[in-house]
Amino acid sequence: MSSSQPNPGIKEWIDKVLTGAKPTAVEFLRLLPDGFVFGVAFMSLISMCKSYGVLLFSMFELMLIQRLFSTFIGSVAPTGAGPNAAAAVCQNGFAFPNSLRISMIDTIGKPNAFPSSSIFFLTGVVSYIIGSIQEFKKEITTLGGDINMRTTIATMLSLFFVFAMFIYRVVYGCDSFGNVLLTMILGIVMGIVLVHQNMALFGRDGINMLNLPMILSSAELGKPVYVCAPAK
Amino acid sequence: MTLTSFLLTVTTASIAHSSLFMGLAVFMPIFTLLSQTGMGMLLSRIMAGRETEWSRAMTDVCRIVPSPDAFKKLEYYSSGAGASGSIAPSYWITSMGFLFGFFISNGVDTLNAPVVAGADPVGHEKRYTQALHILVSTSILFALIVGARFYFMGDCEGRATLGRVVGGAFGVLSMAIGAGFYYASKSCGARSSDLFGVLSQMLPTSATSASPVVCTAE
Repeated sequence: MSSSQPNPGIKEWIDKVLTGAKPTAVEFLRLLPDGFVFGVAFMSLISMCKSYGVLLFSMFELMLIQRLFSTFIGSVAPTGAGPNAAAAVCQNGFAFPNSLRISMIDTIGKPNAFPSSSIFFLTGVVSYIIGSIQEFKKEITTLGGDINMRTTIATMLSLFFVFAMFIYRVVYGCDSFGNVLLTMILGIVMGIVLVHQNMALFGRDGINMLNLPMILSSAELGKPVYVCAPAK
Repeated sequence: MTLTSFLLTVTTASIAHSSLFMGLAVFMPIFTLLSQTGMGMLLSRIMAGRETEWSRAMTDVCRIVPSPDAFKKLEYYSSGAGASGSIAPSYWITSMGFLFGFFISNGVDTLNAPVVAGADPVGHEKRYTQALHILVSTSILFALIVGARFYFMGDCEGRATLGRVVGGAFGVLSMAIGAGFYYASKSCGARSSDLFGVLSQMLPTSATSASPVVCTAE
């Protein structure tokens, strides 16, 4: 074997990595919404963190809202699914080799309809988290430094993620162009509505996704600042 | 957790979650593949012809990501099944070790965080209780999951004792790697490396001191 040819062992190893990467990427996309629900449930159980618990509650709300919307719109004009909706890459959840599939998002929500269950869920969650971070602007500005930078990076990454999801669903033919576009707008609006709903129900600490220490004024804490003025 | 960390990295730019995601999605698969290659080369020489002792079953239930071929042929898990075996350790044990190594390091670090002089004792007590809860619940959960895996699906880790011991040893090593990833992310700042949001909710001492009294000049 000449020295310019790659070592067959290394080539085989690289082939093994590349062959394994594609099904892993497909599985990653299929499991993303359901995996996030279970991950947040796990985190909230272990840490007893209020904001994770409230996020979990909101995710179930998003699934139910999607079902309500799709039932109502579907009864008027059944529409939504793309030409390739039945392909493996478009199906959410854990798939067994006999094609049986388990997906919480498609069980509580409604698949292959308008609004698209996975896009509505993901844009709703992203919008909820970004919206809740924006509610802590005062704390972020006060703490400054890396927290300020983090919120900017998070917003940019979220926009990029939503755009990537849009491209993936349209290019693979999972949903129609109009369905994805309108679903995204609806998801973003519902995410923001849920931020305000949770603030009213659970208080500001219920949406504290960055777990920032909250700044309360002295009056809010019941410790007013006394000013000694000269007696008149 | 890989998916959760990915989405929380995107939406909150959390250093802790990005470390966890990079570890689970990039570092551990490469580490596992290298470990399997190394162990395969070593054991095939010193224990040639005794593959069943150090290999593990490869039925569909044992795979985290099913192969496209598996969708054409149905294979159920049964103890001792799987004629062709892959080499220990499995990706499952290394990723679980990494995850819990990260979690436990985070819990221990939260528990041992120094108390600032003049800090609110109620806040300290709350932090201590929360950290203890994280440590205890994580440890119990880890023991249950790994115990169930080795009891019910032991062949996925090794078809004989040696394979399971190799898997367990690499699991422990992965816990150390997880701890290393946590401390590496901590070097970027304790506030942003806390996965459970206990340390990050601590107020600076100046914010909890008594209310100031402001006097105007005469």
